[in-house]
Amino acid sequence: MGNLIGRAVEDFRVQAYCRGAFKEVDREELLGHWSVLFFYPADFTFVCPTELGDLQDFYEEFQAIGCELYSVSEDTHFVHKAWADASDTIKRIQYTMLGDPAGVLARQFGVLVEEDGQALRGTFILNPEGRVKAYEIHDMGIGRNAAELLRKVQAAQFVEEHGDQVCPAKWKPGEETLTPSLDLVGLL
Amino acid sequence: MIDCSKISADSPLLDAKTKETIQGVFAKLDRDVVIKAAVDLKEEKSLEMASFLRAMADLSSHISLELYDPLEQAELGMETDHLPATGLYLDGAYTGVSFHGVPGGKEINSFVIGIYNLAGPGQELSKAAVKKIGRLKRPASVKVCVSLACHHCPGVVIACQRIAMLSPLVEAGMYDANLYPDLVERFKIERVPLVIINDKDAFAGPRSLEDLVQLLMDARG
Repeated sequence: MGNLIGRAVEDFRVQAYCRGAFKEVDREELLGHWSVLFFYPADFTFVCPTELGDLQDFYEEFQAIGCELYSVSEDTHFVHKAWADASDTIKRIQYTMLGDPAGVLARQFGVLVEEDGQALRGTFILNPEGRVKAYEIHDMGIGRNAAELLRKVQAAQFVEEHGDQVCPAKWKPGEETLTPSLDLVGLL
Repeated sequence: MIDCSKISADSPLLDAKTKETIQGVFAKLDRDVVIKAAVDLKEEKSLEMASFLRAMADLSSHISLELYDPLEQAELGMETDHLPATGLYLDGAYTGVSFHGVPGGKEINSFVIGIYNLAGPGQELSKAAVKKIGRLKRPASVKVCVSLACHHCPGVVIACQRIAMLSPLVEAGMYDANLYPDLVERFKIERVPLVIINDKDAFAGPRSLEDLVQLLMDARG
């Protein structure tokens, strides 16, 4: 599977668990607002609730910038509910947890480990047209950071609005001074 | 005041070709501009800036240089919390134009054009823009945060500083964000150019001079 940037999410329909209830989610639901698909290997594991709880901690901030969150694992929506019933961390999750037991979404985004029936830790930021604007895929044990994800969504939104008219920066204090690049064409 | 003769004018930032081009621009200067800088010569960036300024001052008889140790607490008019800090002065008065950090990379353009706009014929500016700047009624302090590799940044620095030159109410400084983590942290700087007005409102991306004047008119005090 090649680069996914710019690729539009394809049709799908899955069952989901959200705030104590089941619901159906399809491609249409991801359109019209920014979305994050947050794949993780399986319910009832230890790193996952930490990550998902971290995501919940930032959920209001994501919503405030018009971004909806969807966690995805290869479990059914029934297992999501059972996990929420059993775990205080999962119980407080307000965003939608998608069940993808057939691997439709995980396969579409290239994160399904077929022999395990589990998804790698993939995070996909989709714009309101459902196109992938940024993504990262971690191996099973490598956790993610919701604050960093929020920053990436904000950056993606900024670029969508302003094009490439800004220079992103990762500041390294004390970086070497650059040799002057004098170009007065158009300035005088 | 620091004895400038003790500072090397052999700045590694300015090669012969660059100096020649700048000399061509400075040949058009018709007023005397004084560059005053607060430099802590124990610090590498300040040393670098002092040497850069000496080399620049040597390129025109219309430019003179005064260097100050921050401990002297000289009345420079500009903000000197972020060193090295360099201001441009005309007729003994601070013009509201400052540079914080070393204007290397793309920012050499804003430094050279800043002096050209101040002490030379200056870039063309529409009467409507001058009139609009004249209508500014409230004092405004502008920080333009840049990175030296940013090609969008010098245009914004030049425009903000042009406004500062024409309005006694406005001051505008270039800040190399790489050097000042306190600014990066305080204003959550992730992209440049970032125009910060009165330490309150921040605007990212390139803007025309007219747009910047409007932002200043709308700014919170």
